[in-house]
Amino acid sequence: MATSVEIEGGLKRNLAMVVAGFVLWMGFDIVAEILRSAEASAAWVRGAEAVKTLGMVVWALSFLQGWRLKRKMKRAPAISDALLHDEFAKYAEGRGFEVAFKITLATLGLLWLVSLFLSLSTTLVLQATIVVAVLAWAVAFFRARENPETA
Amino acid sequence: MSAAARETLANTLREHRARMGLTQEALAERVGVSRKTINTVENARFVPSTILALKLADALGVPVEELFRLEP
Repeated sequence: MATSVEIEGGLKRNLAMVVAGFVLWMGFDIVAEILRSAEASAAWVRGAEAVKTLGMVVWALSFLQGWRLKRKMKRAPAISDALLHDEFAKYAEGRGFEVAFKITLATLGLLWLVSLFLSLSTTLVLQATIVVAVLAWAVAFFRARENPETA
Repeated sequence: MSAAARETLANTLREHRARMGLTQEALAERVGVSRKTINTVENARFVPSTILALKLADALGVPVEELFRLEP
């Protein structure tokens, strides 16, 4: 049976991979779109597309890794339940949502300001906001786990 | 910063856990939380809920006020 340290490490790595893959994929999709609309050289667009594809691959691989982890967790249900649902896990999740909410509002405000001067598509605004929100949540979640500010 | 904000919750979790010969992992299993939770409570970086504080006191066989105290 896997120990709590093994499962915790696996969950941490898996979450980091899911987020990194998603942010690279969606982030560089935005970058490629901006480069295309700015009529940047084809090499730059191809570079951005390559990073985007790499992000998509990382994201897909993290899902496969997640399935393997799930099997391991099924064999240690008490440890897994504590890791995912105890009050410290809830605290870190809550802190993540709190920070992500504030940063999402700030991002929307910033994009609104930019839209006064530049024409931004709705898709781009939504995509950028989602990427920033996911990244902010993950950073705040990991920070809260390593350095909780309740004491 | 107000006086209340400067107060911290000190604990004797490590001493009582050592007395019982329990690892953080074993204590975590007894009270149904993760090892990380025990670690952060023990290092006074995370303030547990009343329920968890009572569960910890129960698992270590000491009154809760012996386990936790407010420090200015």
